[in-house]
Amino acid sequence: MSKKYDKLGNDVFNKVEKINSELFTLTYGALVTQLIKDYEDIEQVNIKLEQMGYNIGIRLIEEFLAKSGIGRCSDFIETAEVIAKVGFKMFLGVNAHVGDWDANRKEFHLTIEDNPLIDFVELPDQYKHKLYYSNILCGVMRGALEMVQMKVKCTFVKCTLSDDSTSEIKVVLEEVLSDMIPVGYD
Amino acid sequence: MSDPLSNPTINTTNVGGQTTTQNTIGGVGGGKSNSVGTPYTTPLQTSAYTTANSLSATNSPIPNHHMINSNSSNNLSGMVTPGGAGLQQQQSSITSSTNNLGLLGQQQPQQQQQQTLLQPFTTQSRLISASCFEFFYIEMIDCIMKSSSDKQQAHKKLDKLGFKVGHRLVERLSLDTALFPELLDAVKFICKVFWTTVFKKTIDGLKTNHKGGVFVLTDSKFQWLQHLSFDSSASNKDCSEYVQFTAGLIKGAMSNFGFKCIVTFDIQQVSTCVFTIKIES
Repeated sequence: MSKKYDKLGNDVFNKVEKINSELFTLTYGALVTQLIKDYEDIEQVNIKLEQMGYNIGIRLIEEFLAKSGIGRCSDFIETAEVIAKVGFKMFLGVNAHVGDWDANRKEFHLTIEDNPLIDFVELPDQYKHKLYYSNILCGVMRGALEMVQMKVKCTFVKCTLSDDSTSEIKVVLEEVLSDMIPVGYD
Repeated sequence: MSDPLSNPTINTTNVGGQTTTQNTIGGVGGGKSNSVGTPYTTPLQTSAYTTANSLSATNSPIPNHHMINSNSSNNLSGMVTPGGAGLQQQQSSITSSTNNLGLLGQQQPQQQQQQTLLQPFTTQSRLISASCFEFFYIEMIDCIMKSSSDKQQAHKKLDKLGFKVGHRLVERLSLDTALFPELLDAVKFICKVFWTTVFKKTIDGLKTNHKGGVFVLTDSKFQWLQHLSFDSSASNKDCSEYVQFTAGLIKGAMSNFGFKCIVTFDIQQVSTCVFTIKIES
């Protein structure tokens, strides 16, 4: 399954329109700097980044499904592989890996090797382990998965900006949402 | 003439990088990056710490550089007419790509070739999906509009953000370029290399008055307005906030070249944007 999605990820990334990643990195950096100035509390910055990511994710999933041609995933394990091999590859051009499943198969860790958001970035010591610089990625994943009826919770457990060796996001499946009959049709 | 203006800018960048969270161009930052291209990128990053004179082609650390005796006029000429200089530059780019291929493995050659073709005159760099950036851009504009007390303050913020990004981005893009002897060369760089990097096309029209202090740049299909739809019932029909950031980009880029300027813009019809650059002096 992993190889199949690896190939699909590469194919889709080669097809999509691409742009210089430095523009993205620098723009994101300028925005984070602005948010830190606007909000006194670093925790508020994290929340704001996650909220922005959520709003991006609910739109991004449409693009993802249209371009990748992926249908419904059979289970959460397949969903995780699709996110790592196709989703991250398609949009960011990076490889991500899935690991550390729990016994119930409802929790996994996503390792991002080469996060383009943190090129050129240094964190001063007072922000390490407090500011989750790439927290927008957690919001994107939550928003996107909610649009395909999976309610998840994403948090950064490791970040290379805080002197860890890799960036890791913990993803916990909280519930599978059921369809609601539209108002007036029941 | 431009040297005294350029040096303080570079020093400011270095100092700023040590006091707050922001993007820092330099060897230290590169050391933290997990980029696969680090062995290739690091020497270029290091050169950013040197004085403006050292940023010329003669001192470039790229061993296969073919521009040792070129000046910016030849460089720009090579862009307009793909002659020998342009071809040589492409050769250099392809050679650089080849150096990277060993690190990236077999799956990447096609991608690298695309990268070379997309940006034949700029430093090799990573690519991401354009839609990814556009989703982010829309959300960023929305966030800043909501968090500001009024529209004017929002536009000031966007202009300031754009200035920061433009200032740094153009530093990356002009690593391989000799210093511009004239103002017109700097504006041409914005119209060609900078615009291609950000919008994947060159500016459609460039006009100037005879004194040379005012430039009018016309983009007939502005990329960041392409996907906006028109809602006739909306109270706010003004989409200038989506363009204000770009005005800041231009101002920041020109500032890094040593020219302080005022950039205004006008949205003329669907997707046509006109940017006016007025040099302060």
